[in-house]
Amino acid sequence: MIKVENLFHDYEGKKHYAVNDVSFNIEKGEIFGFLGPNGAGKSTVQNIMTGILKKQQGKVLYNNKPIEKMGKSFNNRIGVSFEQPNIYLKLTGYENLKYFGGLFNVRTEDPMKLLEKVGLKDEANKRTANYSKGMKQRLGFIRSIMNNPEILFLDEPLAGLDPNTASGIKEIIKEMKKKGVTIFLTTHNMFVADELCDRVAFINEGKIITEDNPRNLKLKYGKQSVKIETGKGDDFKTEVLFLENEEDKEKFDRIMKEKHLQTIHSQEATLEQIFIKLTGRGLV
Amino acid sequence: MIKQFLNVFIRDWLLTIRNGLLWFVLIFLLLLIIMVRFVIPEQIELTEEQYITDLTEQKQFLGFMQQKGMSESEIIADEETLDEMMSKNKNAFGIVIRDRNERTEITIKSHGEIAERNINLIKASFNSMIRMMEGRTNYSLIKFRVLRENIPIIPLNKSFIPVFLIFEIIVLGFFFIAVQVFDEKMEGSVNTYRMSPSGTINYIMSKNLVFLILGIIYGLSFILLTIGSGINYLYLFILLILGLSFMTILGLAVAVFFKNLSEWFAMGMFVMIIVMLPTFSFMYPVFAPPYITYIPSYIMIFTAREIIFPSGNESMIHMNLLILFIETIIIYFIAHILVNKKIMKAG
Repeated sequence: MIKVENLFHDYEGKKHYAVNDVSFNIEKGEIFGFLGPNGAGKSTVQNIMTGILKKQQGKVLYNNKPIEKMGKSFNNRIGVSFEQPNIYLKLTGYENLKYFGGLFNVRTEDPMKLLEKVGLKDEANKRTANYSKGMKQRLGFIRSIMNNPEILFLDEPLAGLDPNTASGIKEIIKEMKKKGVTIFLTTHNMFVADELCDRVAFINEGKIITEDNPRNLKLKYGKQSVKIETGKGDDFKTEVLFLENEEDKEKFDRIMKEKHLQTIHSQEATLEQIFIKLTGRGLV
Repeated sequence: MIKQFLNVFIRDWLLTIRNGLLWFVLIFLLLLIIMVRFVIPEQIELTEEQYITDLTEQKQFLGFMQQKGMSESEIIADEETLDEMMSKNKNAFGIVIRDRNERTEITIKSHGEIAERNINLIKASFNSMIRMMEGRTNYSLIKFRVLRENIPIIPLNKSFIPVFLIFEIIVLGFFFIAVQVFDEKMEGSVNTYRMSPSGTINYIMSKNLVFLILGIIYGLSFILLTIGSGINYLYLFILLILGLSFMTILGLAVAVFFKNLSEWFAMGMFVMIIVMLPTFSFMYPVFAPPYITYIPSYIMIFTAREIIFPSGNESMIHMNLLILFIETIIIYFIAHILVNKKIMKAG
């Protein structure tokens, strides 16, 4: 379905690559997670894939057709949800959706039904400037599926949402997958990626570090990790140590000999811990 | 295509009419109409008075001026009284005529500076008067003929209407579109637009149409309520369409380079000052160096004047509208490239 091959992007033309030889494939109906910290190159890759950033080097193919030959009608087939809601604050929720739907040349969903789906029906005729952050986020998300896209690009779709609303959005994403929509999800939230994605790729400093399904990654990198809390009273520090790693093992032994160990739990490594292990930095 | 365009137009229309700036425009329009109709007079009467003292032995100047109908109140017996009268009336000027070394000396007293050309005019008047007194010439030899006799005198309160009209076009077109673009950039809503199949033409033309409608309503109401009927409204309509389109699209082409009003301010003000420069040429028509005549607003102001106060130079209107049309097409292509590069694309 989507093939990205040897993608490079250099904003300044000084060989400082924001995207450095990135390649991956996404199958139809798959949710592909793109995990990385801010500035890792996630948005640059997404912008090239959606055609709003001109490709410099490499290939982006949709069903073997290059992105540069897709034309503006390609935008009828994709849906994009941004990290920021990006809505018109002087328009009502209903007007925002009605307007956005009118931009497409394909059948679009009824705005009111979509608003109902994310619990905004009663607020449909309120100007969005008066919406809470979560309401704006829901509106921004639901807008991305208005045109029944074949490919959905979701950038941090659950950021800033309360658990209840987040759960509702996750259900809609799963529903879209069931319908055969291919989803490219960029996030630095490991739990979202773990729960929703069929496969994930870790990106750091413009390069893909590893790519697999979350379970395989955990099996591969997540053996014998322990979570320990050390310190006195409320002043404690949490650390995750991988016991296969000599350095971590020595550290673990040292901590065991000290008096300030508060708690210790063996555990399966999270995607974030694996990311830290592979890159030496966190996802945020 | 039409469905998409109308959709974008409705969005831009709603965003514009829900913007507080629209009220500013309406209040400004109302103020202009009130100023033109009720505040600025049609004519300012200069009530300058003159006092004359003839201290010559023969008093021949006094006799001559009385003969020519000079008021008794303006003739003063001595210089001290003249100074006293002048000190009471700051608008007055005095003329003292006396004999000195067998020649006539004329002294003009004024409260302020008098321009060199006015001094020369006064000197010429006295020379003329002396010649008449000596019987060398008379008034019948001096003729005054207006070459364009059919042109009515433009009342003072209406004389600046063309400038006000073009100022409205500049503010509405150039400034308000920038405000709208910055709103979209700040909200991020422009990001969603670029993800849709609706393209650059719809983006530019829908905004243009919104400001065209507002500008035409504004411009026509202003002219109708100040000038009334009796002018060629078709020409005015075409001028408004071209002028507003040019300024709106220029405003868009400039706004794409900036993120917000603060960043835009210096450049925006610079462009606005440049496009307002032809106002000086309007006030002082002799001031028309080539660089000012090339500014599109120069054409706009003088075409507006010819439409509102016709002097029969229709060919000038046709030519100027054609030039404005070509300039609008050129600025559209520039704006199209810039919007495509700076708004429709990221990075």
